[in-house]
Amino acid sequence: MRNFWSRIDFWNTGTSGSTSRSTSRSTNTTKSTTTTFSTSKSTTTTFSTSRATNTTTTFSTSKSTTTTFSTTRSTTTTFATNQSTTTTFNTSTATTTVFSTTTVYETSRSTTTTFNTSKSTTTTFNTSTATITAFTTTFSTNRSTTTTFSTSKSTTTTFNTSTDTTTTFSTSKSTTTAYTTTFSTTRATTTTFATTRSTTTTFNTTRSTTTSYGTTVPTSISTTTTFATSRSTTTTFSTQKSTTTAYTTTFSTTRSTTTTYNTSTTTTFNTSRSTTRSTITTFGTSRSTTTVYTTATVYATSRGTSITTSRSTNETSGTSRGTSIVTSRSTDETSSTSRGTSRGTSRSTNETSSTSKGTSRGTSRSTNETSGTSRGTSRGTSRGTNETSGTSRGTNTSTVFAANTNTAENTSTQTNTLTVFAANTNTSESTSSVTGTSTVFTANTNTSENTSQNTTTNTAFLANTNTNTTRQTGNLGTYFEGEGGTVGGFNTNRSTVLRNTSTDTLTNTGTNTTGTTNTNTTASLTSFASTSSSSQSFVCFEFIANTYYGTSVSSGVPAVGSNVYAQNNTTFPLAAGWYGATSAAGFAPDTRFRITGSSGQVQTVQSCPSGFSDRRLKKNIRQYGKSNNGINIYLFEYIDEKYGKGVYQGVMADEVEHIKGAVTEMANGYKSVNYGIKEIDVEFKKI
Amino acid sequence: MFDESLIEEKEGVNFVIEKTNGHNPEGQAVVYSKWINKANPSYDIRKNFKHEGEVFAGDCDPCNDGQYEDLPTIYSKFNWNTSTVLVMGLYLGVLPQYIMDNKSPYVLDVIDSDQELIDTVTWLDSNINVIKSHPYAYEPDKKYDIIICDLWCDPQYITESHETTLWNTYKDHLNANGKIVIPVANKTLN
Repeated sequence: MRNFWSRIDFWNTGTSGSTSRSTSRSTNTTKSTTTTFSTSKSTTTTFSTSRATNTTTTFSTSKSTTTTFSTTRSTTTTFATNQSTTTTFNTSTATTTVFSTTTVYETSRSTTTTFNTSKSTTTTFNTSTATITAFTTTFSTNRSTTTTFSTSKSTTTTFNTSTDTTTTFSTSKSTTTAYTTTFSTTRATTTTFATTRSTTTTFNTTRSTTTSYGTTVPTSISTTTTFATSRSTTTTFSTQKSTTTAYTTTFSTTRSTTTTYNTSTTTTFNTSRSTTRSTITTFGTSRSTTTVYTTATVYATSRGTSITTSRSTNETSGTSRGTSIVTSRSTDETSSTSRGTSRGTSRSTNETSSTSKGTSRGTSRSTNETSGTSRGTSRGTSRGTNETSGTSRGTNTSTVFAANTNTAENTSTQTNTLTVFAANTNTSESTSSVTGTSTVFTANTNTSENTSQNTTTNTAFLANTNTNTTRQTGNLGTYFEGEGGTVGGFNTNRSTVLRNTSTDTLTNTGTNTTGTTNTNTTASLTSFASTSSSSQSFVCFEFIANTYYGTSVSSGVPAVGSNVYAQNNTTFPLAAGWYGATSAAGFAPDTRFRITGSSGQVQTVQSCPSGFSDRRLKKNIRQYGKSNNGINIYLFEYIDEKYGKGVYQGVMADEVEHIKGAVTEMANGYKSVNYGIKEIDVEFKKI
Repeated sequence: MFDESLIEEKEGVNFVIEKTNGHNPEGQAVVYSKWINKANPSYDIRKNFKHEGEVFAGDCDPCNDGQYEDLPTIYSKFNWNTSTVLVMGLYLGVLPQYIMDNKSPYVLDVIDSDQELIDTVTWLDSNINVIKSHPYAYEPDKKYDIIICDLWCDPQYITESHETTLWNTYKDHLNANGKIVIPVANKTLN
């Protein structure tokens, strides 16, 4: 840019005169006067002011997250059963009878009887069953999201006062999100039954009878009986079952997010008194989102398999861009020239030039992404078990990018440049509180009436409160005043504070209250379900089908010292033996008790899964009290549900080993607790 | 297990076989026979239920009672088809019959000291060899792969002396890798 200013003044002044007078007088006077004024003045004034300010700000943010799940499960089960039975019957009977009698007969008789019996039976069973089941499930989910923000703004302002400002905002954001989820489930089941049965039955019966009568000779009777029975049975069972089950589950989730912020601000000031202004503003914003879900599923199975994949994605993006440009320019020029014939030269030149330029640009971008997934599962059985599981997951990601540039300029070289980059990330906290209270109240009272009252009150309260508050508040201001003139401006941008507050509150309150009042005129007896008597070895396998009545029955199980009766009176004490009872719903005993003597008194109470008081077999162990004898009382679950499912109350074997007779070590190395001894004043029961 | 029509009630010198109305472990209302030791009638009871053979033969896995959890592992080392098996204790014959029906051993011998019981239990498979002998006095003419000592209804009855005597009596009648199993105690002697 070039500025040039010049001024030239030039003066040239010339005067000449001539006077002649003739008189007869012979006077001759000659006067010649020549006056020459030559004034030259040249003034060249050049103002050349050049200023260049270059500011380059680059923000580069890169984030890459790669999450890979690789789960492989392979199960191979092979059944091979071979049965071979060979039965061979060889029965051979030979009877030889010889009668020798000397008698004279005039008769001759010869009888020959031959039995030949042959029986052959061949039975062959060839059974072959081949079952091939192939499961091929393929899930291919591809999601590709490409978000591109391309914002380009070019402002070219040219002042012929030689002020040239080039401000370039180049903001690009490139977000590439790729989800690749591959479910590959392969199940190959090959079941081959090859059953071969071959039965060969052979009966060979040979009977030969020879009778000879001689009349003139002593009669000889010879009887030969031969039974040859041969039976050969060959039975071959060959059963082979081979099951190969391979589960291959591969979760491969790749997410790559690349966010690039390139902000480039170049401000160049060239002041050369040129008044040309050109403003080019270009906004190019493009966003491309491509989401591809491809799911291919092939089922060929007699089993029911249900796979549900749900994905919910909410994306909210907001872009706000504000541009404020204020330009103020004032130019005053005053020139004055006075010239007097008094040959005085006076020249006064006042030049005042004032240029004020204020530029304020603000860019604010706010992106909120919120995704939430909530799953709830409720299962109920007739046994009165409610399971509720819930998963709440909330992720709030806020990214704020704000770039503010304020530029104020006047010729007095006042420049304000303000760039603000603020990135706020808000983390949402989620608090989930589940409180369950179960109260069981059992009261036994003797009165003169029979009253049964069951009251069940279930109260469930669920409150979900979600509060999202977004607030943006900010002040950014610059006040400037130019020199040599009343030029000023006040620019204020408000942006760049983002608050997200998310509160999830889940309150589950359950109250179960059960009150049972049993009254009896004859005895303080409580009914409970039990098996019939059996051996200690098998009582825990028995079916609970009987109702007995006992004293000190708690949670369906009598205690040591309880008296148990076959009827709701004390007339028929239960016979001695082992019995099974349960503290939970169902027909399988979880407790066995032993009655001795004839009074129906309980001597021993044991848990059916005896031998499982060992701490190593338990999980979720938490102490919640002490017994009167100072024994820690625990709630726990068995790691292996074959020992019991649900929450149990009991003690830890290693903590009561010092009590004689309380702990025995089983053949498998685990320790068991005998809850029947009086020192163990803790009841083993299912909660 | 056995067809109840084959079993008749009997009161022997040492035992009683009686029929009872009740439920089987599957919860079905049935009439079933049970053997009762007259010397300890309240606790020495065996019933005509299949699971009594199933459990002691190691086929109950998992059971609702974990006290026999090791038996499947113990028996898994054997190939029943080629094994010679001795069962001590006849009762109603549930265990040997279950083994014969489901394991098909090469040889299956059963010993019991009560001749009257042997004479009563006529419903066994004819391939099961029932021998009258006291467990501690039996001198087998063969070697066994598996010797199952089903002599008690409660593991608390088993003493160290019992185990020692059994071991001394049968250790020389075991094939290589043979085992003496006490199922009610969920253990082996070797």
